Amino acid sequence: MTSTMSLDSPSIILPGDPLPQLSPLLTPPSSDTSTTTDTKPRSLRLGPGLTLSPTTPSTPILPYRYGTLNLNTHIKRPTASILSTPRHYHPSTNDPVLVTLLRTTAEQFIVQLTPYTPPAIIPFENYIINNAGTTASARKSRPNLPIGATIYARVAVVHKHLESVELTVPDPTFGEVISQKNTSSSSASSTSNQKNKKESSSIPAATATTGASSIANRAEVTPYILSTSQPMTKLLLAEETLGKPLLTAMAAKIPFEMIVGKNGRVWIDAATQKEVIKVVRCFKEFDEAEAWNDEDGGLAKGRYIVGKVCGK
Amino acid sequence: MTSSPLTPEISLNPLPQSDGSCQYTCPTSRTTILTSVNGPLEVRPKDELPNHATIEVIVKPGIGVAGVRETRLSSLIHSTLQSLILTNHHPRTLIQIVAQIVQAEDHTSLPLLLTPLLNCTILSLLIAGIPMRTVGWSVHLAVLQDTKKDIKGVEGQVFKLAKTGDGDAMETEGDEQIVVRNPNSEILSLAKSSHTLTFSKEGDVLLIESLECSQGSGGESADGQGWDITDFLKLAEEGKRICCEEGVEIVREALGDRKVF
Amino acid sequence: MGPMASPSFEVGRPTDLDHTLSRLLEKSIRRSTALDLESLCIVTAQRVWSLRADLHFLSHDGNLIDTACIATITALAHFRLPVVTVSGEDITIHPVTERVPVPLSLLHWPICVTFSFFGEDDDGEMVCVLDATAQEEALREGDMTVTVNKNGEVCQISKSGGVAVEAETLMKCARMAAQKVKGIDKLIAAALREDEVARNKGNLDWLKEGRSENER
Repeated sequence: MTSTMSLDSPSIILPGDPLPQLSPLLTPPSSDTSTTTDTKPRSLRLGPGLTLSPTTPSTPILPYRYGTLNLNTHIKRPTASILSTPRHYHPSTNDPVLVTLLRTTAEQFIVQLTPYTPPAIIPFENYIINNAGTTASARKSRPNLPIGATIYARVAVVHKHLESVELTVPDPTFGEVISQKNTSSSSASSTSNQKNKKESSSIPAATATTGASSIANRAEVTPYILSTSQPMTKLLLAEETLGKPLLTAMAAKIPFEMIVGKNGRVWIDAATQKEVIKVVRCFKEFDEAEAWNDEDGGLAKGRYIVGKVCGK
Repeated sequence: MTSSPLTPEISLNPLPQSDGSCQYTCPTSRTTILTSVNGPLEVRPKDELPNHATIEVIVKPGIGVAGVRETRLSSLIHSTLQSLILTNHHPRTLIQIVAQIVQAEDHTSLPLLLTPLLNCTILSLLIAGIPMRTVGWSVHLAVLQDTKKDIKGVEGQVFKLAKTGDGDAMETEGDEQIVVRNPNSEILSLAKSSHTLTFSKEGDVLLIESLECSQGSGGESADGQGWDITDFLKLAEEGKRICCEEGVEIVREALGDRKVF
Repeated sequence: MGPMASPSFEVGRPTDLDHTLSRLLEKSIRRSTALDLESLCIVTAQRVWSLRADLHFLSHDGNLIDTACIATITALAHFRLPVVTVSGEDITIHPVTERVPVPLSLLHWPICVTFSFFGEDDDGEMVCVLDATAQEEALREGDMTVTVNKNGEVCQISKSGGVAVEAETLMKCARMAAQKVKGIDKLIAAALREDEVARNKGNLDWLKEGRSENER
C-alpha cells in the first residue's frame, strides 16, 4: 500500500457503472483476460467488488457492488477494488476469523464461519499445534476440542465452486481460544497481544500493566464472543483510524483484550466479568446505532455510550 | 410529506438482523414497502443450482395470508432480478428476499404495489452487497382518458397535481393525453391504461407490465379499446428517461450518505 | 413469522414458537375478555363485526411474545370502528367521513411479561432476566410468561417445562410483572395520545388513512 490514489471526490459507484479511470492501467484489450488475472507486472489486479465482464466491450471491468473505487497505482502491482461494507461476511484468503466448532470428522474439523451459511472446514493437516510445525494429523497430537469451541483461524482457500471454505491454523498463536487461555497463559497472551497492542498503547502506562498475562490467571471470568456487523468489525480492526474514537474512549475506562475475527465475531476479555459485559454493551450499542455514519465518525456517540455504560 | 413530492422516502437498513433492508414510501400513494435481503445463505438441497445462486422472493401481504396476487408479484420481481443479479458469483447458495407490504392505499391493486416493491428490493440488494450486473429502477405511469370531456372532469385535479407536484402531469404531443407518474389509487381509477416500466441504468428494458383499463375500474377490467403503439413508445421513452436519470439519481443520493470503508 | 425476522424461520413452516405465540396471545387477550365481544354485535343473533389482527415479525432479537402482545393491544386500542345505526331492518354503516368512528371497548389491557431463568446463583437465588435478547433466549434454562393488566390482576401464567422454580420466586416475578406492566401501559397510552394529537391537527391526511383502515 504505497501510493493509494484517492479520488478527489469519492463518488459512489453503482453496479454497472463504467470505470474510465481504470483504462490507463489496462494493457491493450486484446489480451485482457490473461493480463488482469495473472501476476505479471503491469497487470491490474481486481479486488472485491470488481469483475471482468466479457459482454460489455466498452467497460471490460464491471463493478458489481456499490461503494467507492479504491485504486492503487503501484508500478509493479496496481490493484483496484470497490470499497463497500455490506453486513454479510464474504470470506477472502488470509482473513483472520473466529469460528465455532460444529463437529469433528475423521480428517477435519467442521466449523461455522457465519450463521446460516454452509460450514467451513479445518483439515487436521492445516492445524498446527506447536512452533515445531507439528500438525493435528496424528491422533495423539490432536486437540480434543468440545463442540462449540471457538477457534481462531485464518482463511486458506476460498473458491466459489469448492464445496466449502478451507481454513488453517498456521501457528500456535491461532487455535482454540478459550481453553488455550486456561492451559497456557503464555500463548494466550501472545494471541491476544497480537491483536491487542493497541489497547496497551492507547491507555496510560499505569493501566497498561493490566496486560494479558495478569488477566489470563483468573479462571472464573468467561470471555464473551460478540457478533458484530461487518462495518463494526472493520472499524475494530482499524485501530489507528476508524476505530480510534471508540477504542480510546473504551480503553480509558476499562483495560480489555480482544481478538477480532473478520467474520464478525469478537472475543472480549477483561479483568472481571462485569467489565467484560460493559465492553460488550458499549460495542453492541455503538454497532446498533451505526455510529460510524455520523459526521465525526462516531466520536461523540462513542464517548456518550461509553460514559453511559461505564459511568463518568 | 417530503419536500419534493416525487422523491420517495427511503430509509436504509432499518432491520438490524438482515444483511440488507430498506423501507420505501411512494410519495403519492403513500404505499410503504419494507424489504430485507439475506444472502448468500445455505440453500435447501432441492433448490440448489450447481452453477448459480438460487433467488427466492417472498412477498408478504399487509392483510391476511399470501395468495395468488402475492405469488404473481413475487414471480414478476423474481424474473426482473434474475437479469440483474450475477447469480454465478455465489453458486449453490440462496439469496433470500422478503418484501412486506406495510401500508397501501389499495392492498389489492397489483400495479400500485409493483413499482414500490421493485425499487425497494433493488435498494436492499445494493445495501446487502449482492453482486449485481447493473441497477434498475421502476416507474408507474397512468394514462388518463383522452376525450376532452373526461379531461375536463379531472382537469382541476390534474392541474392541481401539476402545481403541487403531487404527480407529474405532462401532455404528449398532438394527443390530448395526460400521463400521471406514480398515480395514487384515485388517479388510477380514472386511467385508461396503466404501465409499470422498469429500465436498467443503461436504458435496457427489464420489465413492462401494462394494463388497459376501463374508467373507474382501477386497473381491474378492460374496455377492449387498447392503446396506440406510437403513444406507448413515446410513453416508454419518457419512462426510460425517468428511470435512467431521476431513478438512478435517487439511488445514488440514498446510498451517498452511507460511509464505506 | 417469515425469514425477514430471522433466516432461521422458513416460509410456510410454522415453528414451535409460532404455536406457543398464538396460544399465549389467545389466552392473554381473547380469553381474558379484554375485548367486550358484545359491543361488536350489530343485530343480535344476525350481524356481528369480525375483527382480525395480523401480526408480522420484522426483526427477531428475542422477546417476541411481549412485543407481539404490546403491539396487538396497542393496535386494538388504536382501532376505530365505523358507527352503525340500526333502524328496523335497515343497517347503515356510516363512512368515517360522515360520523367520527368509535374506539373498541377494551375492558382492560392485558400485557405479557416474559421472564427467562438462568438457574440459581451462588446464594441460591434464581437468576431471571426480563426482555431477553435472542442470544439470551437460546441460552436460558427456563421461561415463564405472566400476563397482567395495569390493575395488577393476573390474567394468565404459563410456564412450560424448563428449570424448576420455587413458588416464592414465582410470586416475586408476578409482582415484578405487575410493576412493569404499569410502565408499559403508560407508554402505550402516551403513544396513542401522541397519535391522536397528530391526527387532529387539522390536516386531512388522517381521513385518507382512516379510510384504508376500514378496508382492512
